[in-house]
Amino acid sequence: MALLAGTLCLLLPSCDAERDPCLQPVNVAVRLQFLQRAADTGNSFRDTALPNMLINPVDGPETYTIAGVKGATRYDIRLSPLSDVCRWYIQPDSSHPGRRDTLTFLYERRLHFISNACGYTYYYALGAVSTSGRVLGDTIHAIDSVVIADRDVNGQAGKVHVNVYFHKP
Amino acid sequence: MIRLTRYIVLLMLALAAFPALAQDEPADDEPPARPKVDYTLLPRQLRFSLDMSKPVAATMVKDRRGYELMADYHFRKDLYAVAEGGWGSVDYRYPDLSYASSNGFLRLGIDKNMLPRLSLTDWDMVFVGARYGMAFINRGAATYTTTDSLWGTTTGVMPAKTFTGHWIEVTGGMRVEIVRSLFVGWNIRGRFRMNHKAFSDLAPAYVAGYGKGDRKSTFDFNFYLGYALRWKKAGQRTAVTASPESVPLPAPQPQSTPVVSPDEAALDAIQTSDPVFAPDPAESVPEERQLSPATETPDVPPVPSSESEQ
Repeated sequence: MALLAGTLCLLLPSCDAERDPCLQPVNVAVRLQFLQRAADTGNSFRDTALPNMLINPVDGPETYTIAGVKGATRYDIRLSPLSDVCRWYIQPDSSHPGRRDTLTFLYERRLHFISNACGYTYYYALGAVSTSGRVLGDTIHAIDSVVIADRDVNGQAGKVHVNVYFHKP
Repeated sequence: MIRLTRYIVLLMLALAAFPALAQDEPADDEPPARPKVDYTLLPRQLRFSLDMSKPVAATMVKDRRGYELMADYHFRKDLYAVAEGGWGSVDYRYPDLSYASSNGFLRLGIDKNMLPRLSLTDWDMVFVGARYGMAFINRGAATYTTTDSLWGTTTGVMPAKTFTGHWIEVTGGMRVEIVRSLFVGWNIRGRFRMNHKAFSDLAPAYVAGYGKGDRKSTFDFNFYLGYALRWKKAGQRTAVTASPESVPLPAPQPQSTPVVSPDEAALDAIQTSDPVFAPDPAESVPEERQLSPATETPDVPPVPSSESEQ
């Protein structure tokens, strides 16, 4: 007993009431895959690398610009946990400022408990995704269409959620 | 906490080796003959134990506390029925997650002693066991905040919830009788939760009797201090009572030294010296009949004799 008590006293400093560290991503992302028609005719598509992409949230609370992403064929964006809709614009080539489109995401938020170390986050269920060039007054569309590939945005690795089809340059 | 757990488990394993080191070396390569114990002569034993590790841990980890009690009853040769219970709470206060939770728990199972019994007074044990556990959890309302560096923060309240947790566990450990009827010992435990869905929306950071509520499996240890109550079984064959048919009358002995087996001597020692081991008055033999069967055949009715319980 004396040995046990002594050992516990020696170990006392090593046992602080620290919170466990959070060892996993807290915020989940929507993965966009960029595709282009492989030929003028037919329904085959191939990945397309955007030469110098610029992508931004349209109505985020703060100015946030992601520019100069070279050769991207996939890109992860985050949906807003504050509302059920959010918009992003994509400009495939920063040297052509008039050629950009807006992606509008409609979704349902689902509060998800990760752990006591990480707390809560939001998962999403995509309802619809649309594209338009009019929001920012652009007249030339780079995007042909968008298709939801997987509605559940839940942090599962390797999933593509939205396919974005670009016109041939 | 993980580091503390590792140290204490290593300490317990080291302590477990002490009795082995204290054994005398055998005189030769032949293993010593092990005395055969007549289990029908064993008294009943009910032992109550208090887990001393949880109050000590509560002084170091301020936001949670737990208390555990254990009772085990020797009901068969090497088997003990075990019931454990307790209660505990956690007060989890962080900027992004804040709530309080408390629970009581109950565990039922058996332990099997793996240590050969050396005599009727040998109650030391090294054991393995299994348990089924359930906890009755009462979690209060939780306040949460989510943070997104791009879009900002959200806050909300998760309503209070009362639910039940179920798990199974495997355990092992040892008990040593340091003085008569007073035991110390430890358990290590591996637990596996069975109903994950009940814990999905907000699992308490600490569930007394189980451990971290957001883990599907947990590891734990206990350090017990226990006290045993012993009493004679109803209808138990005593060391001084024998059937006249089974014990032939011996030839008159020139010396009056009584012949008593080691087990009988041990039981006599228990009966005469252990205050908690009181013989049943209905079965007590009159004083003038308490003679060795080797010297006189008692005229009490014969009691059926069984060699062992198994």
